[in-house]
Amino acid sequence: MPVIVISNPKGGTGKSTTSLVLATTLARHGASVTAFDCDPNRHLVAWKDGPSQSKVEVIGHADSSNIARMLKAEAARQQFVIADLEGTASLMVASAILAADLVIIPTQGSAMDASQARRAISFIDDQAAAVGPRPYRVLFTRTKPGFATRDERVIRETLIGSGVPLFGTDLAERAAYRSMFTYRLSLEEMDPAAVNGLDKAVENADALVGEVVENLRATRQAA
Amino acid sequence: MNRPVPAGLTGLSDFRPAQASEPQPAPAARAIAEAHGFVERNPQTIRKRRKPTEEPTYSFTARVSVRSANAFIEWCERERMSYREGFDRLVEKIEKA
Repeated sequence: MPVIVISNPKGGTGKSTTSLVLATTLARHGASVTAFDCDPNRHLVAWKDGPSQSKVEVIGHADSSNIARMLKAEAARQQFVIADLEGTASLMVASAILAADLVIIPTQGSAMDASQARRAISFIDDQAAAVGPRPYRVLFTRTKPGFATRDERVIRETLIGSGVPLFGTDLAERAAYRSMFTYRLSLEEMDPAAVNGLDKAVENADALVGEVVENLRATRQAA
Repeated sequence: MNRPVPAGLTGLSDFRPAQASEPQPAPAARAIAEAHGFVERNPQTIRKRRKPTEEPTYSFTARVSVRSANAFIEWCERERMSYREGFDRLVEKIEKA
């Protein structure tokens, strides 16, 4: 049932990668999942056209007038619904955010990503008065395990200081995540001999998705 | 290889498809979104009936006989073309003569 939207008005922050990792990892653990591809680049639709046998369903035809309704309809049919939103500030993005049970805001350790992340956060906070609060959490993407740039440290500290909730788990920069789109397979379908660091990528994906799921449970209990 | 699974993922059956309430329209929501710069990416625009032309155009004014004007207008209506298209066809006849 939960609708999880992945949003940052800035392009290139790792939304599609986060969406695909989330969707395929949940499916790998037995959940029924639909992923909405709301990005004009249609990365998830292209992925689904490939040889993957993953049971993740992908929907690529939604617009600002029907996205909220479509997300809710799928939530009545599937255990999890994930929406990969476009990297612009559009009404479709706004509508999807308002239909979400959790908004994940991917950001890299750059001021531009963080600035646009704040824009999404500001919008969500302002909407809270009109339509109620929407839980959100910032996810750092493309990080290097064991190493943080100075920019990244400063941005993290600033966000934490502002009371912005962050995921404890990053989605690190991993060749395996890029390979998912190259070979159009899920992590468990790829050959460890052909893809570097596959085990670590699966471990990272499991840790992140485990945290997302616990977050959803905590929100549900608090409600 | 047996890989430890995070506790949160060991059982997902507590997440079930559920009929959610129909999203409530919130007129204020759209205004707030637009105030934050979340705008329609492909705004609907009115379809213009006049067909654009790539050639430069010139507004041609002439005092003609009522008989000729009526014949020209009726011919354009019968052929379902604009005055510009009708004028172009007349000029083609001159060029072919």
